[in-house]
Amino acid sequence: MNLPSRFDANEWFILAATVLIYTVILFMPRRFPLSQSLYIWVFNLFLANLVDYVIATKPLDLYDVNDGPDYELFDLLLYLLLYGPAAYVIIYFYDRWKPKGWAAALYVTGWALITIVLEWLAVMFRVYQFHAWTHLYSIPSYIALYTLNLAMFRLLRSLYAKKPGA
Amino acid sequence: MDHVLIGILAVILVMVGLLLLSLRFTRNVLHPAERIVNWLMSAAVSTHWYIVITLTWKLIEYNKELPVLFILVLNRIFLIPSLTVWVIYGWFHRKWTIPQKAVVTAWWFLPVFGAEYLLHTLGLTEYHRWNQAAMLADALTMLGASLAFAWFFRRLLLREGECP
Repeated sequence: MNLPSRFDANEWFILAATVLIYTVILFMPRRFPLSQSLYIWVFNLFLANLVDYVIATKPLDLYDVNDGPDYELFDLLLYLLLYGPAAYVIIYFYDRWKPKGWAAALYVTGWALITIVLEWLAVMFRVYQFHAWTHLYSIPSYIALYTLNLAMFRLLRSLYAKKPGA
Repeated sequence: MDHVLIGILAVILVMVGLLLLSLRFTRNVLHPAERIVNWLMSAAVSTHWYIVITLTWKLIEYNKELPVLFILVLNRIFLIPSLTVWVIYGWFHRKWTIPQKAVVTAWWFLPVFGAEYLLHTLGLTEYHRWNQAAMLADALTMLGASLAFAWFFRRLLLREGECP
């Protein structure tokens, strides 16, 4: 695994964001069984790997993550430590407030907009370097990703009453 | 070349569809949540490992065309994880003996290695310092990580009163 070519703003941003998100999560009352929390982490690890591999590498190469096109330690930390917990917070409050219909659409759009602001900040700190990507593309992408996350979580929860062979 | 690529893409899509459908038959052993989570974990490990191999270590170079990328992604994200869920099925099957479990595991290597060699033979991938030992290490890491995770996830489900 490559180490960062320079330990600067982007690495500090990832470390600070990690500390922040885990502080939030660890002070929230536990809501899901551990296996469901683990599922959220795995699902977002999978999504991030898939999306970045398809659109952030050649031939599309829409953006770079961290110091360049090569895969390095802080890319891994970004996947392992940040995407999953962020999705956890979104699913957590969805499950707590249980928005329906337009409220659910507003909830997802609201989180997508918050993420755009965070993404803008991450670009400032050179965590992402856009080539052909813009924040405008991120809005529908985040709405789709969060909707998928919520739909998949609901599906997973519905499976929990069932036993194998049932 | 385009016709060949579209042909391979079509064959892989059919195989992936059949494999995903076949996972229905694992339900007498695997919890429905296990099927999804183990599949996701195997896909994440397999893609992650492939990113390291191709982007960081540059041991394999692939043709930079979109259909080629889709073929590689389908191989790593759908084909290998679906096969891995079948291996996990075999390992968790209470009535199967150790030799039977070993045979299921051995069968897993055939399509995994076969797909790699096929892509190389068709000229879609090019090897640099990539050899059979590296291929074996890659496959064993994927399988080991997936099985370890599957075991851990089953423990969790058992603790939560979800498994048989």
